[in-house]
Amino acid sequence: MTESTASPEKFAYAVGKYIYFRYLTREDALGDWHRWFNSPEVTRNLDRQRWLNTPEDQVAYWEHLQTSRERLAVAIIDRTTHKHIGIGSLSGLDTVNRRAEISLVIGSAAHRHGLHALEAVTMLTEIGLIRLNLHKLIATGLTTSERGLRLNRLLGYTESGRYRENSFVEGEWVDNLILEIFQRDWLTSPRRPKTLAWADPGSADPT
Amino acid sequence: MDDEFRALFSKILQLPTDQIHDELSPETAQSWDSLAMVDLIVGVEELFKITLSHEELMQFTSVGSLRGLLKTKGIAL
Repeated sequence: MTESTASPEKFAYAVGKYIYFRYLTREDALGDWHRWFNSPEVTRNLDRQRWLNTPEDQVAYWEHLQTSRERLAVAIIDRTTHKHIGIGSLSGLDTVNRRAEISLVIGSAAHRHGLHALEAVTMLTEIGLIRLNLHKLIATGLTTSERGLRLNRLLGYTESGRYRENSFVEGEWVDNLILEIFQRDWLTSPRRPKTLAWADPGSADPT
Repeated sequence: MDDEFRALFSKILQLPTDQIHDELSPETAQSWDSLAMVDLIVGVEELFKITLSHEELMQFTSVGSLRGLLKTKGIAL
């Protein structure tokens, strides 16, 4: 076993007060990660994931991520317990037009309380707009589950439009809302962290 | 002001006002999920005409912690 698989918490990508991000592992795919995307509670408000999700599917997806430069996906880890509680991603990464779509799933029900989700969206926004120097981030969500976009709105994402009848949910066509935030606005936002630890892979220990 | 503060928590967390005390937190109130947290933040900011920074938001772990935070901003409850 390599050191990286033995203690991936030592390879944190970014460290917050309650959570940290690290790369995803094969063990994650075989663990809670694949179970979350079989849970109706988790998937009912997602646009996709209606099919069965086997451990093999999750491993195949994880393998795809290893070489993808169009999607940055991170494991969200609780700092106190080192438990893998969710997934965050910046997808459709376009380095020419400098944009990406942000998404977040807190799979662990016990961690949907408190500040974990808010801190995760904040950290992903900071990574996208500052570390990756993107011009803007996009967040989308079903109009039937607009609650999920409230975290984004709190951070300053504003509504720019909608995809009409874009998702078929429980027998009805549902619109998708489009929210956006620009780098120039994030730079002066009070919601932006004044400091965010960028861990040094291989040497940083978030604890 | 304290009555409005309690009423805000009571309305969003769907709890009687007499159950709104300083020790109340996401760990002790089932209804206090991450979306209720957003509603509380927005509600407090509108009530007191303030904007909380990221660092201040990260201190909001209970009713009492928010009360203490507001005190540092000159809002005594």
